[in-house]
Amino acid sequence: MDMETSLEEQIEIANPQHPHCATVLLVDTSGSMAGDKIRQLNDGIRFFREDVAGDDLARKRVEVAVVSFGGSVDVVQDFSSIDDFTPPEMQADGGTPMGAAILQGIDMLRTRKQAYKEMGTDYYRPWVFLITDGEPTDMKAGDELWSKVVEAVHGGERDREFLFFAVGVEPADMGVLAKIAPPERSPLQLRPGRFAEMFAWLSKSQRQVSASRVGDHVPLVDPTGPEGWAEIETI
Amino acid sequence: MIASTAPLTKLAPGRSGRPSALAVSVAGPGHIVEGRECEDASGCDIVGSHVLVAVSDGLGSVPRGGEGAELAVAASLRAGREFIAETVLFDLDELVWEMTIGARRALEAATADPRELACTLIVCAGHGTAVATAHIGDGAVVGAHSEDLFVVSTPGHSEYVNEVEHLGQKNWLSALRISIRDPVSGFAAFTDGLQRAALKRIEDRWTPFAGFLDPLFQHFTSRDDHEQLRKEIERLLSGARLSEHSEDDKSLAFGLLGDDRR
Repeated sequence: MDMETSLEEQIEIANPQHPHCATVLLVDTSGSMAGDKIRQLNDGIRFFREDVAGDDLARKRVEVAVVSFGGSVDVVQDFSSIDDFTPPEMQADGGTPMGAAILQGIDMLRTRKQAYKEMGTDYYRPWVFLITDGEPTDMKAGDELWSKVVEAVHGGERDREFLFFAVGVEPADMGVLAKIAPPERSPLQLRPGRFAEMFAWLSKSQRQVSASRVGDHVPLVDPTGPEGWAEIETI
Repeated sequence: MIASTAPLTKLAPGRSGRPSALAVSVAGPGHIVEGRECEDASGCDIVGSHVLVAVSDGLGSVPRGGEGAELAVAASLRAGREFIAETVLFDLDELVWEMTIGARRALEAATADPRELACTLIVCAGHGTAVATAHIGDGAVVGAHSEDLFVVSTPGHSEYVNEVEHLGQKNWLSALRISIRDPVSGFAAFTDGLQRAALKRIEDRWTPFAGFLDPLFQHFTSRDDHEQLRKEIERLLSGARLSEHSEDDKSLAFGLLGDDRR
């Protein structure tokens, strides 16, 4: 061993990659989102990308995927780092296959977690973030797909596989959304025109989570506060 | 404590045959930016021919985690010294058990709710050719013997990187893991801030990473001057290479067993 060489120069790092923090965005691009809503949604996702990229640590740790559901379910962006993420310019069209989109997103998360395990990459509990202005057109309460989706969401949350957030945009049926969302986390109703604030909150939350250390409880800003972007229906 | 002047094999007992130990903790870059004190603690002692080591990581989720780590380390070493002084014949696993009980009692004595002092804990006791560890939470202990490196105690299981079990929790006993390994020439115990540097993890299988650990073990066995060695380890733990990969506080403790069998 060369005594003149510092320890820092001698060592190698076993796992140079940062722990990863995966979020899948499930976004409603059905016909009813046409106009201002789809424009704000696209703008919001672009803002989210820039805001996370501006944080040195979060840029290395946050991974994002986008699944759209409008007529069909499309993986617009598979999981990628923020640097490799090109925000899509989505168009609004067709029905609302929300059930299939939720299952697709959860399946992608499971695949991603398995890849992390195989690569030996540490990771945080992933997020599913659903944004919709309608009700599902591919399932109804009590049918086979509905049961499968509700069990996947509620079971996944219960088993701590992921955190599931549901956001309803006017005129979303919040009653239906409340049945799909996990009992532990009521759906949030977006205040009109607050897409930008919602994505700023999502970015801030992801930056907080990705900087958390062992044992940290991450106190997320309450999105339903007076200056927040959301409301929770109590009726 | 006396460092050995061993030849630069992976690890060999010192020519003096006497055991030695060293423990270093530094604040992580994340804590420095936030103006927080180092919330890791570490310590070591040589009691007769026994090597005692403790490292602890105070949890960031509670305001007194760092205080808990300091209490746990100091109390575990004190309990170890007292047990050795008062007991004629004992096994090493009994010794690390007593050290852990001492640490938990210190938390209970300091607060009505030990969760306020939440911290991980690793205690190690080495003697002859064996080492025993008691471990709650993450961090790990790697042993060395002849040309081999091996994990003596793995990080506790948790799927997500920001979750951990700790000494302050109510069911702390169910989280306690005691291991014993023989033969061992020396060992390194470290908190989670060094986990990704020192261990490979594929699925749930942990293996030591020689690229990180070999230079450290060799450095430890080749230095007589522990104060100089301490400074070098502090520089390493605070340096850019490790800070790039972990924002967390970092603790590293070594124990080198003697070659006598008293």
